[in-house]
Amino acid sequence: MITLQNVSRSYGMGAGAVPAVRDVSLTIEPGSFVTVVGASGSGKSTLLHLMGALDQPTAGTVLIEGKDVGAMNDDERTLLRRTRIGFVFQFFNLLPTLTAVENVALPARLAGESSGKTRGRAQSLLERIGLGARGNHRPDELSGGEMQRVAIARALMMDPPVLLADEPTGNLDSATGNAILELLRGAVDAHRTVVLITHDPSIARRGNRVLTMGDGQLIGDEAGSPSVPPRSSP
Amino acid sequence: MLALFREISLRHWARSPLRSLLVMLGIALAVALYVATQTAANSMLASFHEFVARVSGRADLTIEGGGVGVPGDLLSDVADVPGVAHSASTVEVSAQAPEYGESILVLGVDFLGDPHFLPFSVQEGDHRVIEDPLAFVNDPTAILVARRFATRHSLTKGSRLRLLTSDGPKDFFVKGVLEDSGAAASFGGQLAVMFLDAAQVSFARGTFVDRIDVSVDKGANLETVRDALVKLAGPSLTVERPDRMGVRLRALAAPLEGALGLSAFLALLVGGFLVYNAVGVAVAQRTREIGTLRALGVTRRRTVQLFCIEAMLLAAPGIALGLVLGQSLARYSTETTMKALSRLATAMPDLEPHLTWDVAAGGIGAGLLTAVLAAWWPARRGASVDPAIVLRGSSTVERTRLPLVPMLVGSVVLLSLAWTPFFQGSELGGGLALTATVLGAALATPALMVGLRRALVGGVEAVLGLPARLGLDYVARTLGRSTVNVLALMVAVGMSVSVGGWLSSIERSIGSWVDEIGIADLTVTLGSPIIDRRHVPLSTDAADKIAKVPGVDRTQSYRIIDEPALGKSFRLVATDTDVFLSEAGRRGKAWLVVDGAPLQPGELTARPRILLSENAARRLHLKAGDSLTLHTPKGDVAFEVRAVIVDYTSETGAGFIDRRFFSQYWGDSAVDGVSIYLKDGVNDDKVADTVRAALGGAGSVFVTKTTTVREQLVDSLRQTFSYSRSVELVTLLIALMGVIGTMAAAVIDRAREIGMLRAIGATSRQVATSIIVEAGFLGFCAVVGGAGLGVVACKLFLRTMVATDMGWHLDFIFPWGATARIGSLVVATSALAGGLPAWRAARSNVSSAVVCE
Repeated sequence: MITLQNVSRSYGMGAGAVPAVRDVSLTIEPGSFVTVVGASGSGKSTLLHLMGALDQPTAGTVLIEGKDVGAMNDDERTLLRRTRIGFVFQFFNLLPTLTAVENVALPARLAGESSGKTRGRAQSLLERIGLGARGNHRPDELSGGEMQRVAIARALMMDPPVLLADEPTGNLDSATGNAILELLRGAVDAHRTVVLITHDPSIARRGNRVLTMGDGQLIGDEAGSPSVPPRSSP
Repeated sequence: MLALFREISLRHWARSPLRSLLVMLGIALAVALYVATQTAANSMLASFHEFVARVSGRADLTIEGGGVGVPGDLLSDVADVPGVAHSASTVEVSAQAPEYGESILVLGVDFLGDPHFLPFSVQEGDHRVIEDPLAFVNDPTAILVARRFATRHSLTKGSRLRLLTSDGPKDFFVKGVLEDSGAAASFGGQLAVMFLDAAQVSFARGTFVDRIDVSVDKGANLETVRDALVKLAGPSLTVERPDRMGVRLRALAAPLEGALGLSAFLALLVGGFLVYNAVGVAVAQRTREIGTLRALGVTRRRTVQLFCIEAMLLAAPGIALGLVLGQSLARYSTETTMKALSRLATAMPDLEPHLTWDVAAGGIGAGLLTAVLAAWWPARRGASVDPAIVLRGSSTVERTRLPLVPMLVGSVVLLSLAWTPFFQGSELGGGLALTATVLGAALATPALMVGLRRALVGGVEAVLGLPARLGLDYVARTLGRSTVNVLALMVAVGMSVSVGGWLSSIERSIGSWVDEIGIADLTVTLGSPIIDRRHVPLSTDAADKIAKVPGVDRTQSYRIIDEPALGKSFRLVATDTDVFLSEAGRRGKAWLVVDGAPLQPGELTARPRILLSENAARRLHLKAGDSLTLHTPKGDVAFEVRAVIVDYTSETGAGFIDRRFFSQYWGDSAVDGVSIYLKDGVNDDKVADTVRAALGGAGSVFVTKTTTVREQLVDSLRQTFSYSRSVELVTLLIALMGVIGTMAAAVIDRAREIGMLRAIGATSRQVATSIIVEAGFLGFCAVVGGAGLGVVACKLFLRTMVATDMGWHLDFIFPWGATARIGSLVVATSALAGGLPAWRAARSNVSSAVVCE
């Protein structure tokens, strides 16, 4: 569960400070598929970063699974991200020198697990997303959709309860984007939450809860598509 | 363009004061070194003119001797040659004043002879410099000193001045002060004048003088007079016009001029390297802005121009600073150059360096050109990035696609060329071979880095984890940029290994040679512990005093002079050969004969025979059994080459004869050093103290144990390379600054990747590890490549310069110590140099890093 209590985030100091998120309070329950929509500069990404412990609020409290992110030091936040949160970015951010399977295994390797131990798990994740045969390919040998699928597999590698996706379909054509969306929807289960940022209202409507940001504030919080699973497995 | 510069560039540079400062300092350093070395070179040339004017004075011709000097009695015959108007003898000694720790040029002139060439005016203003000339010439302790020297040491008429003479330290008394004009001014006041006979006695010149100056009658033909003098002087003496002497000196100083030119070039390269790095970082940081400008219609060429103009304008204050610094540095470099020249040839006139307009203009031009050329490459790389890619936020990390195979082939060709016989046998060939080697190494560097990465990646990952592997991966991705840094570091390592190799090779060879011939218990010299330009010959009286010291069993004196033969010059060593041969035989040692039968006592005293060192035999094209005619003051004497021996006395070669023949044919009884063989059971320290006391007891009397002679020889060799060592250190520092720049650019390039790694769970320590391993790997590649480059360069040096110029054969000894030292230093400091960027990367804001998409 993610809880934000009167969270604000400003950049800069004093009179020149620019507020990116202002006094946002919300709770995201496990097993939900939440989409965040809003105009450019409305504070969507900042909100996501606060939820993912990438950033810290200048005011208010962010609780992830009941733990106050603001009270954690850098190492504790890193450990939290590594084990409890998965990230999917718009530009995939795969490491070009690693193969697909190595990219997927990256979080586990950073956690100190051996290559042999992680490889099988990464390969099975790739097979689950339909890229079993592409494990030994490098990113420059994959299409955009394939790269994003590898990025999703990487986000799932540590089996985190929270998956945060920042415009994951923004760099893909609509057919590929739909496939990726389905993959993310499929990742939601009784224990796993997916929060997805988009500026596309049609994508936003596919979440079972739609948050709307405007000028750094939460200006809308409504139910989305009722047909979103929870499913039992990714 | 100016608007772009004003509105964009200036703000960037103002926001990055450290980087702006780096560009300015890089250029300031380059211009300062350029200006200083050029000014030193100009001072050297001016000094030649001054020197020629001084030695010649009003002379049209100068007679000089190659070995012991010019027989003093030749003067009267010279004066009788038709066409000779004036002639005078001079003794010229660079003497030590031990109480002041300074050297002073002592001229011995004949006040009673022809006053035409006197280096001062007898009547200066209202007073005579010497009040009573007759009393002066009759007093062997009478001396005149220059005004500046007198003022500096508070010397007035009657003051005592202690100088190191061939009989040990001796007191002289000031009888007059020379005004600062003419010769006295030329040497910054470090000048003293004494009567010719007194100088001959004090400095063991015997009946010899250093030169005879001649001026020719107005109506006489100079060449005719010269021919007559050549005939009179014989083959052992030279008769030259003073300007010829300048040409000879210039030739002697040519390597020094070359070294200065090379230093100036290196300084510009170093400055360029710093600018390259600073602009490289700026380009990396402003990639997005470049993309925007390009998208808005700024052409690639204009973008490049913008960065070049930026570099030029930043260079302007650097150039101004460089000119100011250069002026101060010029004083130091001129002094160093003159000292080096004085070691090479003779005491040179002391000239104040002046920054001339042409040198200043050269410095400004070189500074601007360096800035533009160094900025062009990274600017071009930045401008060539597709604006669409940049604006889309995709990775802009340079993916170098270097043609590794053709580069390797080129490298092999160049390295093979360097070893072909065509490039060996001459200094020029050696230089070309070295250039080919460096270029070959440069072409092989990317392949070496790729190969080393492949070899190490598994092990590094196993030990240090995945982040370390990512660091190595990044080097492979930015091969072009990394290569420049590795090359810079490689040159520093290569220099170190090469000098280390040369030293260990020569230490081994000289060490075994000294072990064979250094059999005496003690060696006595004056002025310097070894025979060099600072030492003073001992008089026969002094040698006799040593022989009479209690505890001394036998003494072996030696005299070393440069002797012309067969159109070349070599070092002639006259020594007590029987003493050496019998003492060596007792100890199971000997001269190592490489051509001829082993030597027995008596063989070199029975008749004129000579031993030649390998290099002398090679240079003179002689072998055992041949005859070598030496032009002695008593006429030509044929010496039989008894054997060719292993010997490292001189790079020009050495010949050994018995002192008996030297005294007989050269008429010179001075000795440069005395080796002492002690009686059994005698305490060597006690004997050394007694010898010192017998020779005046000053610190300038050196009684050296033979065991330390080897160390002193090696020390003097090390000192020869001290300049290389400082260049090596500076190169290393600059290269390490380059590593910092490269790693800073790498961190900027990889901001998004680092952000992603941090987002998915990489700790700040893991990120730092990745950067530090990357920097350390750059250092490691430089060590591997530099060690190879150093070995090849050293072998080339031994095969070309040493073998060809000196005729020495030295076996290459790999300098394990020097390589380990520089290797560990480079890898450790490279990793440390990566520390600052690593620290910044680890502390970077994860959120803004991932947002940079």
